[in-house]
Amino acid sequence: MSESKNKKKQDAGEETEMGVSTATAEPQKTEGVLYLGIDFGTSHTSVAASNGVRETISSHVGYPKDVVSRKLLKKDVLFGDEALEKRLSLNFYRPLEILKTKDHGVEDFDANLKAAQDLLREIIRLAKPRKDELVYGVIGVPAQASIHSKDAIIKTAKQALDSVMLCSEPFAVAYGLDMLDDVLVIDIGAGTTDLCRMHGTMPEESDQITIYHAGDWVDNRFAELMVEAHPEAQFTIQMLKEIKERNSSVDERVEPALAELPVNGKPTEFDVTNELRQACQGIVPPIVEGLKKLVSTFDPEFQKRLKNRVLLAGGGSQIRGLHLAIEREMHKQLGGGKCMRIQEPVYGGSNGALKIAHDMPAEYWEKLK
Amino acid sequence: MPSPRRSSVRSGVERTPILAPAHVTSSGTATPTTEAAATPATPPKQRLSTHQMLHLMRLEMDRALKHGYPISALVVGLDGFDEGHHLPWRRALMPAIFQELKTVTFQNDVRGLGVWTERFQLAIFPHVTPDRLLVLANQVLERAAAVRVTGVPEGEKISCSAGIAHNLHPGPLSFETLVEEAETGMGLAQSGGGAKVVQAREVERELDKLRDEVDSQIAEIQQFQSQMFGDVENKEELWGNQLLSKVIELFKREPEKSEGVLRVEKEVIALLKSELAVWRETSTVGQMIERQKQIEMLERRVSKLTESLGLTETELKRIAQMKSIDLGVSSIYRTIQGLSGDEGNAEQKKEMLKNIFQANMDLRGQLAALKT
Repeated sequence: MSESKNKKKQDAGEETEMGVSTATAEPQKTEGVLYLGIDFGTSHTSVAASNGVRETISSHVGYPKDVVSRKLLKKDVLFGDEALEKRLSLNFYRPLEILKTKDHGVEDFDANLKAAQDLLREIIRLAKPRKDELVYGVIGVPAQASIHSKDAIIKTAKQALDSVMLCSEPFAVAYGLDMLDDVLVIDIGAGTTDLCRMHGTMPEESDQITIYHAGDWVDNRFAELMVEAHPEAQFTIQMLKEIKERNSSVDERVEPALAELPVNGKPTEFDVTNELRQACQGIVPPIVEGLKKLVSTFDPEFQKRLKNRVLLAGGGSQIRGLHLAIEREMHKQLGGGKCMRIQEPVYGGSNGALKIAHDMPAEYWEKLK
Repeated sequence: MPSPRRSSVRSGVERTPILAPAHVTSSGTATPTTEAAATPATPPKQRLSTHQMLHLMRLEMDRALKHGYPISALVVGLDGFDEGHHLPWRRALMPAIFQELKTVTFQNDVRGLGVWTERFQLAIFPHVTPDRLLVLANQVLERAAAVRVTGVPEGEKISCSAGIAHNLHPGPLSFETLVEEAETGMGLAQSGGGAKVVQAREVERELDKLRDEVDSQIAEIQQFQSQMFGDVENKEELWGNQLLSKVIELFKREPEKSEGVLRVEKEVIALLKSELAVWRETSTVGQMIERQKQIEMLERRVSKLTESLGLTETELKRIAQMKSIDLGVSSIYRTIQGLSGDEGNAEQKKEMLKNIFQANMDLRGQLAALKT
C-alpha cells in the first residue's frame, strides 16, 4: 500500500515539475480521477491537468455582433487570440477585468459574467477530460474577489466539474513551490498585483495586499509616454500591449525596442526603448511599498528571512530584469532583500492549484460536490 | 443520473463535414458535378450547382421540421479507392453509382434531392421513413457493387457503404446535424468492413442497451447473492420448528404417559429432529446448487455482454481515431490521492488544506444564505 502510495506521490511530483511529460505515461487507462488546477487571470487563463495537459489562452471572449458576422465566423463564441483578432466583428469582452472589480454595478456586468462562464467552460474543455472520468478542480481566484464573482465561478465550474474549490492565487503559487514558511509572493497579473505573506498557515486578510500597478497600468503608462514622446504615432492600447510583451524590460542596457506604428497611414519605425522601460519601472516602487508594509508588520525576528524569500510570479514577472529592479528598490527602502523569479510564470498558479487538488483528501471533495 | 460508463458515439465529435466549403464548391470546378435526382416522371435533365441543391435540401428540411413530416438523409461513399491515388476511378464511378441511386428511387416511387462528388453522394428524401430508406439503401449498395465503368479495371471489386439519418427521434435537428449523422453512419459502416448501411443513432442506442443490460444483470446477481442464504434458511427453519411443535403437541394430548409412551415420545422427537436436520441440509444444498447454477449463467452472460461492449467500444475508439474524434486524455490517477503522510510538512499542509476546505464550505453557506 505504502509503496503504491509512494509511487503515486512520485508521479505527482513529476507531473507538477514537468507538466506535459507524463501526458502519455499510461495511455491505456480508461477511467480515473482527473485533477485540474486553473488560474483564472485577467489577461490569461491557464489550466494544468493530471493527464499532463497544460493549456493557456488569453482571457478574451467574443460573440458575433450580428447574423452576418456569425455566418462569416461560423461560430457562436470565440475565445483567446482568435477573439482578439476578430474583435471588430464581435461583442468583445475581457470578462475578468470586470469580474475582479468589486463594483458590480458597471454596465454590462451580466454580459461579462456570461463571458467569464463561457471562458471557464472553454479552458476546462481544453484540458481534454475524458467523459468517463471524475473531474475535480481547484480554481485560483484573486484574494479579494467579491462573493458574486466567486458565486459565478462556482456556478460555471460545477457544470463541467464534479467537485470544485476556490483558493487564493498567490497562495496557490507558494503551495505549488512548497514554500509555505516566511515567504512573500508577488503575483503580477494584468489587472492587479497581489502581494501575499506566507507564514506556515493560511494567509489572512492582513497578510495580503492588492495593488493596481500591474500589466494594464504599464500599458496605459506606456501609452501616455508615447503620446508625449511621439505625438505623431497612431496606436491602440492593444498594439502597445503587443510591443510590451515582445520587448518589456527594466534593464538599462538592452537591445533597442523598435516598433512600427502608422503615421498618417504610413508605417514608421519608432525607438520606444525608453518609454517602455520607464513604464515598466513604474510598477517597482508601489510593489516594494507593499512589501515594506508586509515586512514591517511581521514578527521582527523573522523579518530578515522574509525579505530574503520574495517570490516573483505571474505574467508580469516576465519583464526582463524586474526581480533585480525590485531587489535594488528593496535595498533602498528596506535595506536589502532577495527576489527570485519562479521558473514558470504562466503556469505557476495553475501548477499550484493542481497540487492543492491532488493533496486534498477525498472526504473534502465529496462534501463539496 | 446516467451511468458514468455511458458515452455517446456523437459526443465530442469533430468530423470532416460533408457540408464543408471544400466539398461543396460550385459546379464547373474540377471537383463536383451535381445533379438532381429528379422525380420518376421526369428523368434528370435539370442541372443545378451544389450550392443550389444544398439550398433546396435545406428548404425541404425546414419544411419537414415546420410541418412535422419525416425526412431522411442518405450518404453513400465508395469503400477504398483513396482520393489521392484513385481519383480518376472515383470520378468515373460516382456518377454511375449516382445513376443507380436514381434508378432505385424511380423504381420505388420515391422522390428526393441528391448531389454527388468524388467523395460522397448525399440525398434527402422527404416523407420517407428510415426503414423504407434502409431498403432503398441496400438496393443501391447491391446495384453499386455491379457497376462497371470504363477506366476502372474489370477485376476491381466495387463496394459502397451508406449512412442513414432521419428526423423521427426527439431533440433539435438541423440539416447540418442530419447530414452529420448520416456521415457518421457511413464512417461506421466503412470502418466496420464496408458494404453496409448503418444508422449511427441506432448504434448508439444499441450500445446504451448493452450497457443497461450489463448493469441490470450485475444488480440481479448481487440481489441473488444477498438473498440466497437468509431467505432459504429462514423459511425452512420456520417450517421445521412448526412440525416439531405439532408432534410435541400430539404427545401432550395423552394425559398419563406410560414409560413406554415417554420412551416412544423421546425417540420420535429425536428421530424427527435428526431427519429434519438431514432434510434441511439436503434441501438447502439442492437449492443452493440450483441458484449457483443460475448465478453462473448470469455471470457468463455478464462476461459475454461486457466483452461485447468492450469490443464495440474498442471499435468506436478506433473509428474515433480515424475520424480525429477527441475522446480526451486519461488522468494518470485512478483514485483520489490525498496528501501522503510521508511528506515532510504533511501536518502543516493538512491544516492548510482543511482551511481551504473550510473557507469553501463557508463560501457555499454564504451563497446559500444570499439566495434565500
